[in-house]
Amino acid sequence: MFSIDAVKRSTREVNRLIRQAVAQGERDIHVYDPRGRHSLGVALAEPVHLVFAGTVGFFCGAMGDGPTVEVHGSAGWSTGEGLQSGSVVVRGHAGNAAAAAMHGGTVCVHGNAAARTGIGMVGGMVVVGGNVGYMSGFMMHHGDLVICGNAGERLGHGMNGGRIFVAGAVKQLGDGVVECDLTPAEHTLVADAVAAAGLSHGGSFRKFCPVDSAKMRRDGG
Amino acid sequence: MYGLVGYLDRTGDDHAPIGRIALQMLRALAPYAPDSTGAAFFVPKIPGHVFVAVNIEGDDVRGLSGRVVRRVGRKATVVSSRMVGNSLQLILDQLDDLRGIVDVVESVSDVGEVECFSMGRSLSVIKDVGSIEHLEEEYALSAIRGTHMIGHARLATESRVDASHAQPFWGRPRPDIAVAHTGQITNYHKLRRRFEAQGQRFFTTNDAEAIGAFLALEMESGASLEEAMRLSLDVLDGTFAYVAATENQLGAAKDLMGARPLVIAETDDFVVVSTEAAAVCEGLEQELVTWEPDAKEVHVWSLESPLHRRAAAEPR
Repeated sequence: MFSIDAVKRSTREVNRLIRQAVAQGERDIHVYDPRGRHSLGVALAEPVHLVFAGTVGFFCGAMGDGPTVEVHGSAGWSTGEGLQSGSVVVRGHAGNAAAAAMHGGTVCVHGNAAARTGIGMVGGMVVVGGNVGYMSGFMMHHGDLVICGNAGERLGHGMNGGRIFVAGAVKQLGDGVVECDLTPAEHTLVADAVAAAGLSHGGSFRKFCPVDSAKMRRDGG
Repeated sequence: MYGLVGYLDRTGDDHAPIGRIALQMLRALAPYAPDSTGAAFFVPKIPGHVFVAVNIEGDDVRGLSGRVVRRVGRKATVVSSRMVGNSLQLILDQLDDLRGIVDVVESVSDVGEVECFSMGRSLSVIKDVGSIEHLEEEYALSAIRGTHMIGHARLATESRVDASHAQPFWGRPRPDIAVAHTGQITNYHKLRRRFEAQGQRFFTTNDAEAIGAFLALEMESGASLEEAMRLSLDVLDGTFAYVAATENQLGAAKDLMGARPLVIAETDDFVVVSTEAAAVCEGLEQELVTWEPDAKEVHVWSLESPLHRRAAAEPR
């Protein structure tokens, strides 16, 4: 295991040390005391295991292609934005726009995720152990958003693809979003995703998708 | 715009190191906000005493400050007067007309060179152009002790860079209320005209000043801080987050779209708020679990109810 103490180091220094360690073949890297710094562990394209032992700021683990990033604290805005593959796991809470525009891989938030979680998702899966805020799933194109807790207002507003699964209450659906029945395969998919994340949920999952895709399904399109 | 901070001590200690915490929190925001910095501190009350912070501009700062002290001396006992930079810091006693003293001070200049930055039995606003390091050097922030504070580091976007436009703003005319804000209030001019028609005086074109005015006017009408803050979300247009504090409360609010960052961390000993987790962790010198309120959320914490903790403020 390769350790980096982030105290008294700038964001640039911490990221440079991470990249140096990756280039030297380290595959298990732990960063201690990140103290909320922004843009840590961004755009890593190797299958490394990167742990932040503490709270991180904006864009942590964004644009990764293969890494497994763990945050043992909370994370700021845009955690895992644009993730291509791999995973970003936040053990605490996440700020706005977690998993924004992600293409693949998994973003998992054990606590609550704030407004616009999964905004503009293109693929991959997001699993949230707690609640999500206002306009989560806004303009989703594809991928799955699994919420073990409650969802805020305008869930899935403007989504044209993808699926949103919610175990708790939904305060308000966005325009063009309807509730649909889960298929047996989807029940399995959601149960497996929650179990793999080590999370639990209180109720039965409901599924929400764009009205057009629900209509196509009914019409056999 | 840029970053804001807030801290409230829950231990019952009225000599908590709020100056040092403000310094450390604002240092974390400083790289992005070089224009001006400030904080509103709530310090221990001294029976009978009133704190007044006066900013003096123009070519004759020394002469104006002397005139302020002489005029104030006719209305109250001046316990102490200290000039730091352009800021005249007064402690008064035996003051019969708490609010009237502001007019006495500001009437010294008829061209707006003399402005009360704060007035109250606990509130002291310190703000200036430049970084937090400048503020520490000039005003020795780190030595300030009290119960709670809010602060701001500014990257100017829409109004002048001077001490007057720096944040936090005092919610005049009400004693002991201050506000700091990030974002834009898009109906600022409309609100300002309305408040001016109600007799409110404005010294800047910074939209945060209008939030202070709104809260003060609502509270003058009998609203609690929390009620005024909740109402503000229906009245203020734009994307913003703000913190406000009175002599015994700290509050934080987020706009309808949740389009500005705001994080909160709570322990048994304190509540801390900022636009960035970095300021929370650096300010308290420890890793803390932060969480972000959703759109249109208001949270208020009181000195009197230290057990108002996370459970009551759990996000949906």
